[in-house]
Amino acid sequence: MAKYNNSPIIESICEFRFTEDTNWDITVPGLIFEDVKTEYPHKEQRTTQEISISPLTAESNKMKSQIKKSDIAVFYKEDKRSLIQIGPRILSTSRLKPYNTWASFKSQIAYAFEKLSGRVEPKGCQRIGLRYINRINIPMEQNKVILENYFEFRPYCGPKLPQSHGDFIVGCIFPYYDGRDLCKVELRDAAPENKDSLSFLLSIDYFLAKPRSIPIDKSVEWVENAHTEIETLFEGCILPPLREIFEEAKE
Amino acid sequence: MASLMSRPLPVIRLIEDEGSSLISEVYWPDSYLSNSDTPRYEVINLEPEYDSTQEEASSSTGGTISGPIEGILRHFRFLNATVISPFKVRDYLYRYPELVELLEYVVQKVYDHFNSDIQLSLEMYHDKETLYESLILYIRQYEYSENIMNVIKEIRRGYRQKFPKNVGNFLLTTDFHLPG
Repeated sequence: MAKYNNSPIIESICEFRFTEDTNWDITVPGLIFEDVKTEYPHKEQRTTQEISISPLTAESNKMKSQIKKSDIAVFYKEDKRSLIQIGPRILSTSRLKPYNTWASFKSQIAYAFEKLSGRVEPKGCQRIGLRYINRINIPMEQNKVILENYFEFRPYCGPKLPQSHGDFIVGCIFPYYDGRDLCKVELRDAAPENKDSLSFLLSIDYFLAKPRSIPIDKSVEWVENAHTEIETLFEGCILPPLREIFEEAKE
Repeated sequence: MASLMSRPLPVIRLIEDEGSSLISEVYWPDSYLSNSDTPRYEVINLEPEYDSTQEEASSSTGGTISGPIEGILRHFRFLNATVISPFKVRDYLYRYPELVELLEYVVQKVYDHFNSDIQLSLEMYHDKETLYESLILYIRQYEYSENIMNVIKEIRRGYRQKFPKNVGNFLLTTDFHLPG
């Protein structure tokens, strides 16, 4: 995806969630900060809330919801565009716009994974996710944007429905490798960048859906493959006029 | 023009594959399809049985910085608020993402104290000489009460107390302009 001069990527994030049998305690973020502080000198703490809802089962006809609060340590590079986040059995690393290259982001992922592995022994991967969030700005013509001119992945409204709409969200989960991996693709409108254009967010979230289905030492290799699949999906979502807006880089 | 009744009916088949997933296939007679090359879609059941160990695995890759920023900007649209130079506002929020939580708090407090007749305007202030910059949220009303600055000061005290360590600059105020 970095082959564009005007890349739409606003954030790339790679997250590892380790299985419950991975030994973890509250000192882990501090130990990792010691190892990464020359590269990531700024630290912050954040609290996140996650709501999990268990669906109806044969045994119970009630839905259960639970709010989990976690403290997350965030380590930033000097430019505040690259960061590592550490939560309970969670390691994630992100790059904000401007995205450089996959090689650069991959080495950031491998670095964070290596530093974590030096302090704890991950027993297995509950989930690995590689997600790219793109913000796409399209100039309006006559105060509108015709999505089918730009996207292969878009809402479809049948001929009996109004052919103009406002805010929208469309999403789809694609299975890979017999459902071992899944990829969630979402397209929605976003707050526009200026009054002459409309903005859209295209999120591609490729993840390992079956816990422990790959060996821990193959995690970074899995991420490489995830990136290849995301790249293919991204190209499959867009049409040539968007490639023109992104300005394909000449080899 | 073909009437609704004359339209051919789709053929729907449910197939059980080896993994006990149900796959539904929908076929339309070729004559109904506007283009015979149109791909045929299928929706597959990815989770035939609920497995609590996979619950976490099927959530989204979280911890994004952009998610809350794009979310608050969407929320401002929903409130019919004005965002002046969205490019600059967005850039500032990406530099100081901790301001998103503060903004959420302030917007909530503003609507707690004022009726829905207000209009909000989110803007960046730049002082070219000192290079000082700040995100400013203006409250605008059709009629201003004498008490408005006191209410704003009370909200300011609240957010300064709740978010004392913010690095990015933010100010809630009014310029006594009319909405619009």
